[in-house]
Amino acid sequence: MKHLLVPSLLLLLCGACNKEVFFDGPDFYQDDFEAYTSLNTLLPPSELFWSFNQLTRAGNSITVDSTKAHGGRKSLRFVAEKSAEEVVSKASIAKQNMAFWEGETMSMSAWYFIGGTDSLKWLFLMDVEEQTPIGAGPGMRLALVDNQLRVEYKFFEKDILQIPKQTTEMPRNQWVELIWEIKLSRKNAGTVKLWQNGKLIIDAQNKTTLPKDVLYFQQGTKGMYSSFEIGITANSADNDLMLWVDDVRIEKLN
Amino acid sequence: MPSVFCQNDLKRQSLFFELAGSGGLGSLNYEQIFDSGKQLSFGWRLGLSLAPIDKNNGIGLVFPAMVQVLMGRTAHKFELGLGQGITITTKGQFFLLTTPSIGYRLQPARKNWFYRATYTPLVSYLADFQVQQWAGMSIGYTFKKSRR
Repeated sequence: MKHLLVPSLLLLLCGACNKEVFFDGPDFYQDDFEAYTSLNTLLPPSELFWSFNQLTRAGNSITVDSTKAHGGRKSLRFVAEKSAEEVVSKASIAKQNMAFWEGETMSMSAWYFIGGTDSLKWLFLMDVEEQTPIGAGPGMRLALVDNQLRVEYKFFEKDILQIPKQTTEMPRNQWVELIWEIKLSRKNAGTVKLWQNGKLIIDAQNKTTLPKDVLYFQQGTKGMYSSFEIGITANSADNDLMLWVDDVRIEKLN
Repeated sequence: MPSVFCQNDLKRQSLFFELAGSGGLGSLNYEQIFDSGKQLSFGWRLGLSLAPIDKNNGIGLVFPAMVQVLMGRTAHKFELGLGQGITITTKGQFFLLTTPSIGYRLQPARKNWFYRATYTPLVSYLADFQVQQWAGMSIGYTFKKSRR
């Protein structure tokens, strides 16, 4: 371990000198899940497709499903037990080592089919994060609260809600297209937009949309997002849940 | 005669608590002055602080390690320091910040207690260059004065 320390630090220092080259990665990925036969085929060691999955409770699962699809014949089905106090229930897949830098606008889109009509308060559907050496993956995520979508921060910023009295509920038991667009800024020059089935439901200007280092709690931020997660990224504590995701796309717009 | 000691004959060891400052939210520190002159004293400090992150990422053990120089003949001293804030988490992660400091210290020669007020920005330089504006207040006790 010791002999790796000095080279690792030198590499990180080189990263600071030319971080956009050192931490470079793809800024485009799309997937319709048609080519897969099982969860394992989504997660090759090369990370050509997805990087990892999270299943935090025994009853949670992710399967390639041919009973429901938005386009084509297949989608991904996520099942999660309700969250408990001691463990957040997750059933999600993530793609890491991408690169969306400050000043750029990134767009994430996916079709979601949320089954059932049970109450789901604080269900998280889509996360974007920065991978940091110290810290808990700071970023932003889409949350469903009282059946309405909002953008929640995983660092110290206020949630972005829909305009009161003009709110739109997320339909259940049907395919719903979500398009989430973020202009990335560590100052307050960012924007956040969210379309649900083509309707703009969040349009926020002058926002901080990227994390910075926070004392010793969060270290190694670089002014970028590198990880993208979909599915049930955290289930509500209200009820077990089954949902489907199809036709995912993440890209840089400018 | 301890009460009439001359500063440049002494090696001082102290403990101090710094609220905020170079250790983050707060740190407990050991300090040793290893070279004292009429105008300048040189020393080092090593501290310990905790930075709980979350269940998955554990707790950060933070060790602010610095060298420092004190300037001034009287109890009122100007202080400069430079070092590293070393973080090792209980999950095995490691990182460094640079910890410069500049400030004021009240340390009467004949008393054991001393007080500090310092500007202590935290400078990230690995992976990206960032400066966090930060400051700290300290109270400390010099517990040993031994002749060299």
